[in-house]
Amino acid sequence: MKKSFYILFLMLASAIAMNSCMKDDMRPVTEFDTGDKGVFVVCEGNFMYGNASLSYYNKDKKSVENTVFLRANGIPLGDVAQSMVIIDSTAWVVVNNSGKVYALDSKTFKYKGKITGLVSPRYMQFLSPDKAYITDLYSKCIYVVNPVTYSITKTINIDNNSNEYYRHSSEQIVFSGNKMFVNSWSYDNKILVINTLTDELEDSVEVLKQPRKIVVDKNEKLWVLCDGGYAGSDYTGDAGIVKIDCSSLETEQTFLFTNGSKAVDLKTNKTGDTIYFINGNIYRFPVTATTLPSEAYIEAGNKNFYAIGLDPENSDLYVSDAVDYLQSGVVYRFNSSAVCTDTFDVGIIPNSFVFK
Amino acid sequence: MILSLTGYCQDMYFPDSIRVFEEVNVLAQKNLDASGSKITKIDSLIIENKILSDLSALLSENSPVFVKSYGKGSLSTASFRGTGASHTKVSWNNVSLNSPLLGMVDMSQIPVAVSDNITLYHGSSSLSKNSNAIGGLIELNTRPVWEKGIRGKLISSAGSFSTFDNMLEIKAGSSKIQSVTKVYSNYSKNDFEFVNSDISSGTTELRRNADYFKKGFSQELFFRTGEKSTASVKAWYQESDRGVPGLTTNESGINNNVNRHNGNMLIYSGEYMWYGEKSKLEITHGANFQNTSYNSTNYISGVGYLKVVDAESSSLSVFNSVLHKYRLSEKTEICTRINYNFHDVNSVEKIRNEAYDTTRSEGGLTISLYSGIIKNFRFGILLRQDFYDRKLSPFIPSVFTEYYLNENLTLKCSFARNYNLPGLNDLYYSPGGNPLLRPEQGYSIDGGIQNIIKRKKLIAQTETGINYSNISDWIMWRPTAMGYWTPQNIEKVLAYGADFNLSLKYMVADFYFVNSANYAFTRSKNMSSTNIENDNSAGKQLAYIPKHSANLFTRIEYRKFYASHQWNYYSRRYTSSAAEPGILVSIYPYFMNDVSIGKIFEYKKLFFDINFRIYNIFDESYRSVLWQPMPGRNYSLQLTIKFK
Repeated sequence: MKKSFYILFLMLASAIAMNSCMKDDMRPVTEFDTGDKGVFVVCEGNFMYGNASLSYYNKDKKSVENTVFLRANGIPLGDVAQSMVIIDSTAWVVVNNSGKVYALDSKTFKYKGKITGLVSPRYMQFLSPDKAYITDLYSKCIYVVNPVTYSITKTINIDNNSNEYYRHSSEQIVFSGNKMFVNSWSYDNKILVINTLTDELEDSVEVLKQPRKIVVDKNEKLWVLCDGGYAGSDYTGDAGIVKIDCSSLETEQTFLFTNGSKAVDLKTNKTGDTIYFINGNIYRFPVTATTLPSEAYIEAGNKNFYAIGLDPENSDLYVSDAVDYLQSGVVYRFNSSAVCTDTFDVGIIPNSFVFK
Repeated sequence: MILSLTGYCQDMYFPDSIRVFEEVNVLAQKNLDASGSKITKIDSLIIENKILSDLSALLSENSPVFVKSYGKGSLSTASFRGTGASHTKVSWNNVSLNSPLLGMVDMSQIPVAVSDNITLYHGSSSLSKNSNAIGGLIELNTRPVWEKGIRGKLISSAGSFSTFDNMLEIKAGSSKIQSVTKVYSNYSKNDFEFVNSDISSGTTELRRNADYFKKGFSQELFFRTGEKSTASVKAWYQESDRGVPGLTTNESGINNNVNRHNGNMLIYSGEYMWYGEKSKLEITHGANFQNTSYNSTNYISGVGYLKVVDAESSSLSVFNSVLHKYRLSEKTEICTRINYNFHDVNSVEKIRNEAYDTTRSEGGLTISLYSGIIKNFRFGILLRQDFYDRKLSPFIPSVFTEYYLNENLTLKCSFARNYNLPGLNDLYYSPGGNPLLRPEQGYSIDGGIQNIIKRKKLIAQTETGINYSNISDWIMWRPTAMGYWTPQNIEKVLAYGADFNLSLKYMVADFYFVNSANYAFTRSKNMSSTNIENDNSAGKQLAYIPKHSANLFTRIEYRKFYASHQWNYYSRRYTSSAAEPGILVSIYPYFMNDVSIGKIFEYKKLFFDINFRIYNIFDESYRSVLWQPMPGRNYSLQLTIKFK
């Protein structure tokens, strides 16, 4: 009997010894105080992995800090950081599959506020300090928000009331006069035209399948990068770039990609006279061009170029490589002569650059 | 707990019968076709203990198999030895439960109650069982007990978070015919409280949309059709419905991102066995009908609730096999197996109008020779040639050997080639399916030493093994620039490691102790020579495979009282392809402790067992998948009534 109790005691002791606290909430907070100028890299992470992050690059010191939102606030950014915009000293990060937009101090990265209750937000654009628009993949509306109060003030209905696919989604926003152009990317082929005075959908322009990115050049022409839909799916077609006049809404030219589609990003420079885009390699051409460039500006080689950013200060070109989309990405910094001056590691799937 | 011994079939009606030490067979009685194989059998005591659970809980807590679980009732997949979820095959009475679309099995959907024998065939050991599992085979079987009269048991459990589990089993029959009827249900609102520290101003929340419901029944009939033959027919039907909860970081509101998954499954199986003086014939036929649907809904202002995903799939799989064993001599037998399977699947996503409809036929011929003609040495040679859709699969040769150092100590070694076909979603799912995928193929080498110690009041068994698998064309899903995921063959994965398991039963005075322990060291590395620049995944541990895993089960019985303790451990798991550190891409080590106490009592022909369990006794705040909270300390009370 005595032996039994020894054994029992040993088992009990071993059970207690095997308890080890699973430090779920151990997230030390770091204090940052960055300068006025720098580059944010938005790393969207993987869908349903919740591993989105923000990286911050100091241009002068050529140093990078990763996962700055998590480290500054002790909370993760969320699931799929789709985009970011900076107004004054506040950075607004749209966290797509977390249904929210986080506002943070652009110098300290400290949390300032959030807009929640969004279905599947994608991009945010400011019309004025107290009025901004947030697009959404599934809500069939564009949210009009007051960033000062972090509240939704109204919605703009963009539903096409059709059972075909799930239309319209809304993505990027660009302004031209009193018009707001929004691309409907997912299983769609429309550019929506919204009057910013009335906040109503006024018109739409048909483009190639899946308009993915849009920019406006110095001549008020809208450039639309279309990825052509998903190969092998029910919704697939030509990929290319469509040029539209913002006033007449006429399509002026369609540039088709002849060698397949790896079309992921489109930008214009600060002066709006040159278009940069990624279709596997990086290409650039003047806004007056009538054909696409035959030579790549920067060859991708075995890299998976995913996003480009043009520094408005010095025209440096930042290019992200998403590698295999399941590990830390890499950013290349090129000067205006396309010479690589720095590379650094960032978070998973770096999808955009935001300059402050 | 895990005895790799054959012939141990015990009707778990009266727990005193557990306390028999004669149940261990001597090595000489082992089936020839198990020679050199690593086969572990889940102890019937543990099956009884987990009878109201699903396979996910049983495997993660009582075997070296790693289970990745999103929470109770949610998706759970199992992997042997660092291989993938689709490399783990599961069968119920010779019918595969693996979805022909996904290639894998959701272990949370398989109740323990539908089987009374659960056997794990590690790696190439599955080849002898009409399976080509690269990882391993989990065989769920029911076997008759040829006892006259009616017996039955009713088990009901109520627990925290409105969790109710019930099972009724009726066995009836004679020495010539036996009927087993089972009915079960599992429901949980699963709305546990947790502190959401993953959002700003996080507070205590209730877990939403994590409810689950499962109900089913099975009917089995066993016949002694003659002096030399038996037959059986079995059917199992199940319906399930569950929520698929979102991540803790989601703040879209309670009406958005509401995901539901439901399905039903009907399986039937027939078996005929004939035993001759020197031969045995086994004919099996079965089919598995599965329907599943998944939808995701949001509340759209001005429209109402609108689905953004509306996916349905259905599959019919038919399995046929004929096995003939012929004993050439007392110590040598030759086995021939012919099998033919057919799958017809349909998958549709209604919102995006994506669909595919296809069939696959597969089959093969297996010839094996097992012999023990050399003293203290047994070996087996197995040759297998399969086909699928008029194409030949890779030829599979394999060799199994074992050597008895003495009556208690056995050395084992095996070598085998193996392959795995892509799932039909891998090939045809839209968008992303890759019709150019090649089958995964490779070889594995296993070695081990098994020791059994038997004393008057003690049985101890240990098995220590090492394993090595080299798999080419491993199928891995990766995101693409276009946003969707697509599967690709990656050049090579090396999975290797070691495992140890212990089973111990002993009596000291009036105390009866049962201990079981498992430990596995697992390396599973992507060894592909990548052509992607900046790719740091080469040589790194595959996602969600822990290097170290262990569990320990202890049960103590004292007269009519008993208590048990369950401990589980996984080391850090990485989620990125380059196995990077940091809380966004890895999960801290997992430790879990559960305890239970119970009392058994009898009244006339009725047997009662009342059991109180405490899960997560140290009230850990934890998760086992990123941003999926798990419940703190919780409780259940279970009552078992058996009659005879």
